[in-house]
Amino acid sequence: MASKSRSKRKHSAATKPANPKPAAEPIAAVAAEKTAESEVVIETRNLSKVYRDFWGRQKVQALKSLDLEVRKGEIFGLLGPNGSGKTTTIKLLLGLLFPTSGEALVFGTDASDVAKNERIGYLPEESYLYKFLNAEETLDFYGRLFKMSGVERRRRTAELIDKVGLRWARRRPLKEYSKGMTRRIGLAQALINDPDLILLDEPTTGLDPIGIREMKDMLVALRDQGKTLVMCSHLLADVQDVCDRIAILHQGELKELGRVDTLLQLSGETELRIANLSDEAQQEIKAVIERDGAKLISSKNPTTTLEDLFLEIVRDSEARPGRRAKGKST
Amino acid sequence: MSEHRSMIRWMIYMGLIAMLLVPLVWLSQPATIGANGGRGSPGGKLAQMRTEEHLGEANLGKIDPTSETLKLMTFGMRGVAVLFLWNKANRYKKEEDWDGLTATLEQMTLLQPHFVSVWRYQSWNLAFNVAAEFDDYRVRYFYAKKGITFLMDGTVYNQREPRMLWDVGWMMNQKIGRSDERVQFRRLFAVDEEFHDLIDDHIPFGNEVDGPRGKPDNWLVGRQWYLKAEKLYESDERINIGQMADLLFFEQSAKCRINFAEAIEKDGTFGEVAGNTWKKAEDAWREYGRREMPGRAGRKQKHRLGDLELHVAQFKKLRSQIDALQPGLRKKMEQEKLTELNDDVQEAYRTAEKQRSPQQSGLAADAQFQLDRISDKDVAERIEGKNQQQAMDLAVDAMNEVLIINDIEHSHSTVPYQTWLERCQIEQSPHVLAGREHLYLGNQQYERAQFDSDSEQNLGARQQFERGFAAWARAFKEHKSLIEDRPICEDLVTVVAIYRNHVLDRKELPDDFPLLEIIKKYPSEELRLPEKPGDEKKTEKKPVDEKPVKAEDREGEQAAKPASDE
Amino acid sequence: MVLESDIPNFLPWLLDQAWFFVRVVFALFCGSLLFGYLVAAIRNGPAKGLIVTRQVVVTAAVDLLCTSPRRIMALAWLSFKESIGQRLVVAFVLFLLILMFAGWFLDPDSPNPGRLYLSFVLSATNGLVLMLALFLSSFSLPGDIKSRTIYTIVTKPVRRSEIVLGRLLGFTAIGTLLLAATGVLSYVFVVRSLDHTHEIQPSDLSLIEKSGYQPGQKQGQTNYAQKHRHLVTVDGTGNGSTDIQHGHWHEVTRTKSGYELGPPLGVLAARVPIGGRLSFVDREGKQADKGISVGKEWTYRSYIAGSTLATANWQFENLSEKRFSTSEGPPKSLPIALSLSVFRTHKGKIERGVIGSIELRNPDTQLTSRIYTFRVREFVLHEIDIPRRQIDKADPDRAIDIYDDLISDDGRIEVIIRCEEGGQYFGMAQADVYLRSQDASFAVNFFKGYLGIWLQMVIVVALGVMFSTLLSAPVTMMATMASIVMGMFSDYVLELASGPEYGGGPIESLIRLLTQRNMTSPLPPGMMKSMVETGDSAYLFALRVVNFLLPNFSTYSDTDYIVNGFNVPAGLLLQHLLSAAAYLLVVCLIGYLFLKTREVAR
Repeated sequence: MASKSRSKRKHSAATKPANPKPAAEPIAAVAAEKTAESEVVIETRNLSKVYRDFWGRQKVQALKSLDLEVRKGEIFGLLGPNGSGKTTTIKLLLGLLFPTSGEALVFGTDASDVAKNERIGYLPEESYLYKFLNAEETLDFYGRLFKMSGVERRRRTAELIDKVGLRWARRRPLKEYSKGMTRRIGLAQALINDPDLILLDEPTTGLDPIGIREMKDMLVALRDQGKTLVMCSHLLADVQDVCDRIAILHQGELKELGRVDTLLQLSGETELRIANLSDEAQQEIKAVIERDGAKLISSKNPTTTLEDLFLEIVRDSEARPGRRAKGKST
Repeated sequence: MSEHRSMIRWMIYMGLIAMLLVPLVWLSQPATIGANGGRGSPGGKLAQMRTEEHLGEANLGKIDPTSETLKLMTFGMRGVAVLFLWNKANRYKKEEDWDGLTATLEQMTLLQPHFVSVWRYQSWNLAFNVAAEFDDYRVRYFYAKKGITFLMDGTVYNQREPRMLWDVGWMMNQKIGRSDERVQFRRLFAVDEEFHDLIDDHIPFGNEVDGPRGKPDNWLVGRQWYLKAEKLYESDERINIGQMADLLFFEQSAKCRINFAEAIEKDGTFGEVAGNTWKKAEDAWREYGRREMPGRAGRKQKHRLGDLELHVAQFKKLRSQIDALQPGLRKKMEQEKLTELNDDVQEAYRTAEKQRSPQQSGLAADAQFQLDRISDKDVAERIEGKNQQQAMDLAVDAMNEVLIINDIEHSHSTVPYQTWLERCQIEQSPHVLAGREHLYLGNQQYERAQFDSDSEQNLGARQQFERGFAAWARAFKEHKSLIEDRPICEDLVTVVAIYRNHVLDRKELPDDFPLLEIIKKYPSEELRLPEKPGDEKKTEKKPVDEKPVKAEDREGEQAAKPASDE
Repeated sequence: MVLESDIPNFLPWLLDQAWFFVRVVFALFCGSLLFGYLVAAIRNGPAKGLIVTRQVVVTAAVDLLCTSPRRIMALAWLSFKESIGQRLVVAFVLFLLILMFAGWFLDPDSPNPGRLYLSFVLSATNGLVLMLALFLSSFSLPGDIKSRTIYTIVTKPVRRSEIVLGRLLGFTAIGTLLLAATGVLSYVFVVRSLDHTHEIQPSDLSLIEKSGYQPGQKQGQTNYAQKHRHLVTVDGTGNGSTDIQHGHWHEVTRTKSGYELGPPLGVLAARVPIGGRLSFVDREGKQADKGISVGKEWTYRSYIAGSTLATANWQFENLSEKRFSTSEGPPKSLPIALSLSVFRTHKGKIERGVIGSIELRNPDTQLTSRIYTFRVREFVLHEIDIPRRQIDKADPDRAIDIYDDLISDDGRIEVIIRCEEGGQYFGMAQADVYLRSQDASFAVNFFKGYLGIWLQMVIVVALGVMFSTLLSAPVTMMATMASIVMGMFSDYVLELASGPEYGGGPIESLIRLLTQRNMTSPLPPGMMKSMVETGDSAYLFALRVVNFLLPNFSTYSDTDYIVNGFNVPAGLLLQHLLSAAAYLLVVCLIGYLFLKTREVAR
């Protein structure tokens, strides 16, 4: 089998960190260290939420006794099907809802304490921003709500607008923005105060692949700056790419909690990706496997991801407009 | 296959809708105006019915954009808004805030322009209640005028309401002509050109409403309104005047002339001018008498006020015709009836009238009543032979005449037609005219304290009074019924009292005093004829209050003559 | 002008009201604490409920103390920007349309067009601004909550109190803008509508030959403009004035070509009255509190009989020469203004007013002035100047001066009014006679009136915001609208809820309607009757409570002063401000509490 590798990853415009997957071991070690020493940013104890209707009857039990901990400097993912309580948890942590029983503590204080919001950023699922303002005014307005001097606020505004790539549309009112643009300005307002904790509700839902890539890169960059991120999503692939630890919820109950890599690790199997492997060497390796008593599950040319192909084509198209594919066939 | 079916279904629905359009258009197509402003298409059935029944806004009166806007602005709560406005208006009235009151009334009429009661009540309110609150008569006139103008504006919105037009006339007469300040008000009205222009916009008038001084007189202007009301009422069968009786409705236009004649005499116009005015009044009154009035209790048969004598004569003729068919029958029947009565009743009846005791008079009256109940029909039934049929027919006619006579007499009890007719005739008598003139001049001289004449042109009070009394005496001789007219006689007695108490200095009236009979019939406090010598002093009562009032009237009248300073 | 109750002085009012306010707030605080505890106890059990209540109180206190003006301003700016694009324009256009319509059905034939225009303009502005406040405040916050834009606010370090206050400030700013614009427009409209002049030709004037006029004086009638004309009187130099018609007069000056009449004067004024205390002397000469009643429904005025010993006495205080000085120097007279009512029992002289007299008296030395007679002119403000120097009645050689001799050392004087015609009566109330000091500026007074409207607007905004923290948009609008209506008709509702009810309260009336009973027949006795009566008194009690809680808008409205041409006293304005501030405080607090205890994400 020819192992033509097409794993030449081209770098996208955003900085792209090294693929975390091959380096599973070292990061696990580092993470273990971190777990030991880092503080608890979010803690929920026995958190429950029941939605009652007007007459006080119970309607829906959204969360049942959730116990959770989120440490500083990690990206925490909340997973689950629709209606599992992910969004409810985020809202409870932000103080948008009040728990029926149990506690939610953020930075050690109760979730409904408003002062803690100084250090929090929140990116909601839909962009709940005021449509009659433009980008600059939006960021300026939200900036005013924090303890920032005017000079700093203006600096941050300009910086964030550039960072999210909306410089060309900064004077247009938000009602003229496309979905991707509103998501980006939403992210900008979440970051206006340089928060230590960022809560994201379905951050990648509804974006196009480029947007998703950029979002993921940004999230990881933020984590590398030392910030804590909590995101909830039902798009499994994105969570897998980005999160350090995940919790899986189903019908309001916590079903699984742990590090991504640990959880996903298929402990019984080993994966090798080899470049420039000759056929003889391949046969040799097969022999070694048989001798060891292990089972060869599969040996073929790995595929690149559709995402990489897509990004490559788009980049190519931007660089050289007008060129058309001639129906390349493998 | 299903697509085909849905297409068919669609076509069926479309067809049904198209079919529905036909009756809809027939019903509700609006009326349009033609190219030259004339009638275009009359519109669908509803529009036609609206025009015929005079229900559309355009038929009821003027369409006022302000009014329509205000009505729309209340968002259907027009009733509630009007309720608040009524309360507000009453509050303003209580607190005597006249500006607020008038503003609120205007708003109310904008919201309810076709509610006639609103206009009538509030115009009456302004002209009578509000005007009375002020001290200055000029301001009272202003508010009386405001009330009248208000009502005049209302007639524009309600062009099928003769009652409103009638009310305008009535207010113009009553408020200006009969109020306590009538002298001043009539004077103000005569020169109020702005008001004349306003009225002219509604009812154009020319010189026919002028008084003897060449200025419009409120009585005659009011009469124009009455005439317009009458014309409107007669123009269409469906137009009605509500609860009001035709009798009273049509009376006023003629009565105006009578009142006008009285008024100009009070202002000092006599002689030929006055006589002509009374003649016109008499003509107008007679014309009123010729109008057909509906009978009582919904009887179809109409009657005329002026035809009383006619019908009485007709009745007498019919009765005599019946009696002629069988003479003596009626007398016989009366005797029969009499014998059926009690003995003492008969006794009373047979006694001569002058010798009856009071009880007997009563019984005799009862007897007479019973006898009168023998009707012509009863008599006709007793007639034998071939004449009976003819008699029955005559009896029926006679009964009819009786009914009409009853109707007329009943109407006369409401409107004293005969009395006024006679009055008009009497007032035209040169004796009466002369008498009035002399007494008027005499009063004037008396006011100036010029009791005696200094020349032939300038007679003193005494001379004028005496000439006046003589003229009146001749008038009484000429018209025997004049002595029954209490108001005229009492007025005369008052003047005689002034004459005796002031001009004659309380000396005795001469024995040949021309109006002695009248004085005897209508005794007055001021003019007690002394029975004993000492009584004269006791009857003396200084008519303190009386003098200023009279002086007031005269003063006002004098000021009316030259150009006024109003 | 009608003043049915005294305006109390500021300080005593303040003390009185402040104590009242404290008591009410305390009662409300305790009541709501108890209520909150009960709710918490029902939800979480008694012990936990206590903890929850304590927590709420503590966080509330912290919230209120840490309210940041910076954030309030940011939120206010947001509300302002949100509203400015949309409704302001619509409201403006509406007002302009109304102004145009005003000309159609305002009647310049009225004898007092100034009053009519002013009252129209003020009430239209009032209504319009309150409507604007209603709509702005009802839809904003519920809209935010429904579209969830509030999430991004609440997740910032924004206290709930700042949200409430920020909105209040923002909407107030817009309302103030509108009010200012309409104020200027209205002022221009009124002044322009009343501005007019007349013409008179030299040939229209003729020499006056009546006695009592100086030689060389001429009189004549002007032309007919704005539905009235004036009588002009000029002296030998050709200058003079017109008579008062429709509440105003013009000055006449001689020009080369003829005569020129100036603009209307006296129609837009802001008089500063100095009021006194009224007491009566009855017809036998004895002191009395009130005069006689002549049978009028409205008992505001009482009457004195003519040609008897009956008088009406006003005592004025704190007078001095300085108070009446004008720009031209010390006063030459004592200016008195009267508006008496007359009741005639007989016609008398129809063409003349009834004669009355004024006498001044020093309350200490009992020195009296000459008696000045006048003819009463009803419903017109009658201004009399009593010359300050006059001959003493008792001693013809001696001259007395009002300011030196008749005003006592501590600044008091008595003004005594009599009716001089037998059979006629004069009616008066305390506010009907006053001393005139220097007029204030009409323009300033006009805008003072707008302060009252502004305060009403702010209260409506606050109420709207408060209701909107709890209720959805249409329900908020209804609740605020109901508050406005209740507020405007507060006196009427109070009368309804506390006065005698003929035919019972609402439940009883309904029963009477359905069973076709009339108002006076009694209900059948028994349990139902007592149930119905209890129900009705409970309902009426609740109505009284609600009426008490909601603000009485008519107390903030100074329209009467402006329309009648009187200066709004500064003390009154302060009273308005303080009572509105107190009310606002409580309303904002309640709004904050509602928002705080509410789950925003529901």
